[in-house]
Amino acid sequence: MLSVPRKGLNTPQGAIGSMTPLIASELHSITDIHSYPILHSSSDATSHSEEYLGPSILSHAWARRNDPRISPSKKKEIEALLDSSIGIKAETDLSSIRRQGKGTIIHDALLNCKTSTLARTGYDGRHGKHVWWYAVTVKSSGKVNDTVLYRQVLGPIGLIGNLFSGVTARMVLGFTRNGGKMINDILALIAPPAGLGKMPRQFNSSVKNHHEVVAIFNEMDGRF
Amino acid sequence: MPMNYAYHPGNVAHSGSPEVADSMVPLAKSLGIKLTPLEGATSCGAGIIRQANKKLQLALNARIFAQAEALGLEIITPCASTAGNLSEDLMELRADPILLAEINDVLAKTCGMEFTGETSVNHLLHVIVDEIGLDKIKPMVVNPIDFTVASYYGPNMQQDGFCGGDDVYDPDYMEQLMKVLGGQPVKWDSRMQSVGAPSLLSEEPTVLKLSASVLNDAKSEGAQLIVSACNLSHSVMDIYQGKASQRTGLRTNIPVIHLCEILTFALGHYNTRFAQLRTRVMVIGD
Repeated sequence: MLSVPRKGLNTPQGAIGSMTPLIASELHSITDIHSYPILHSSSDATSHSEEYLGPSILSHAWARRNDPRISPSKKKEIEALLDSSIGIKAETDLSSIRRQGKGTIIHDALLNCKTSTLARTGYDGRHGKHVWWYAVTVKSSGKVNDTVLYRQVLGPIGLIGNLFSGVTARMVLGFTRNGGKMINDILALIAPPAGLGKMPRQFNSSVKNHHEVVAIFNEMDGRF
Repeated sequence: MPMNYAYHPGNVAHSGSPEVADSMVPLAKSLGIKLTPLEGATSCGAGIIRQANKKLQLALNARIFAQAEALGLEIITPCASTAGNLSEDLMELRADPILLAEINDVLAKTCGMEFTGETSVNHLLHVIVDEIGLDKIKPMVVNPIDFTVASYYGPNMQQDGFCGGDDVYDPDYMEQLMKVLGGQPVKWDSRMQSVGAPSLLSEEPTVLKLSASVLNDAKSEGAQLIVSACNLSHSVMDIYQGKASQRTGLRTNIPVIHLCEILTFALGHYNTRFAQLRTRVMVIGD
């Protein structure tokens, strides 16, 4: 173990690391779990992902990462774990955790962990691109543009893959969904399958007072 | 006198799930609900924008709440994800006066609005059961839904304080409603399981397995049809069911439609679409 100089107290039991009460209570609330196996099973993703570490390990690792007593090298090691493909990005839906008992605290901790990972990795990879482009499309019109998301996140190879796996055909036909127009906009005539059937729209009209949405984005987060 | 609500259609009703927007309007008319459009309302964030910046999503949703408050109305949505996400942010703002003041500063600066916390968010299902009453729905049924139906809630709105008088962990509002519409509801374990819609494009292998397990569970319980309370999950379970089967080897072929659609058909609208559904129920599945 490599010790580094950090804040501490001299106590009758010897020197111990210290932290502010605010951080201490936050870390305590994240780790105050009665049953880690139950917390692990509260995520719907854990039983369907072969590698995902799950909310128990990740919330514990996130608390450890935020503990001011750990060394910089250990912090980097934990961050590498959290940022990896088996880390927090593999959690598909945090709401399944939030709805369970004390899940709100773990949900908030894991959400902060995800925000931190996304910022640290520069919105790289599919997960980062998905979040980034979702925010960008909402800023640009107030509504999400699924077409831009598919194009930016999946890329040309992913889109071709969807063409052959039947996903595109099901979008066009609204396979088990009923009714609706077959041609949605003029793009259907010049660049199908865009604009056909239940394919998401290519262009969104802006919401009323769209400038307010842009102003909120600029005020809260200039990156988008 | 009709009930009046500020209407948020959900994130994908304008694009990938136009059938939800199509059916909500005649449905509301039949139910005696006046939908006042929230014309400037943005996407609820779908739990995705908050991954980048939680306060950004709070501010965007606070603007939606402030618009509803200015109309003096509560919000109604047919989407479980939107109901869940908006309710989550509404509760957080109500519970933290310092955060509320901070977000209100942003609203005042950018939109000249103020949000006090007076509005509330309702899913269509809870308005029907809690406010209108199932006894009033029964005489309205023109086309009985004579299918075995698996009702899908998803995890977003099944949270404490988000789901009206329904049980968070063992809901049965949709089953009651399907019975009133003439259907045979099945009880199945996966009705609140996530299908991973917020990570569809980024974690596709896991999402396909999640979807396949939900679809296969409904089929195993003898359902002929899944009715979803969520616009996003509804699209994922429909569009990706073939790919989910290819990936997992599970049987997933079953029609999936939205709650708005089945209600609209039962109350006598879009009879040709209802005929299409009947054909689909006959040819899709076993």
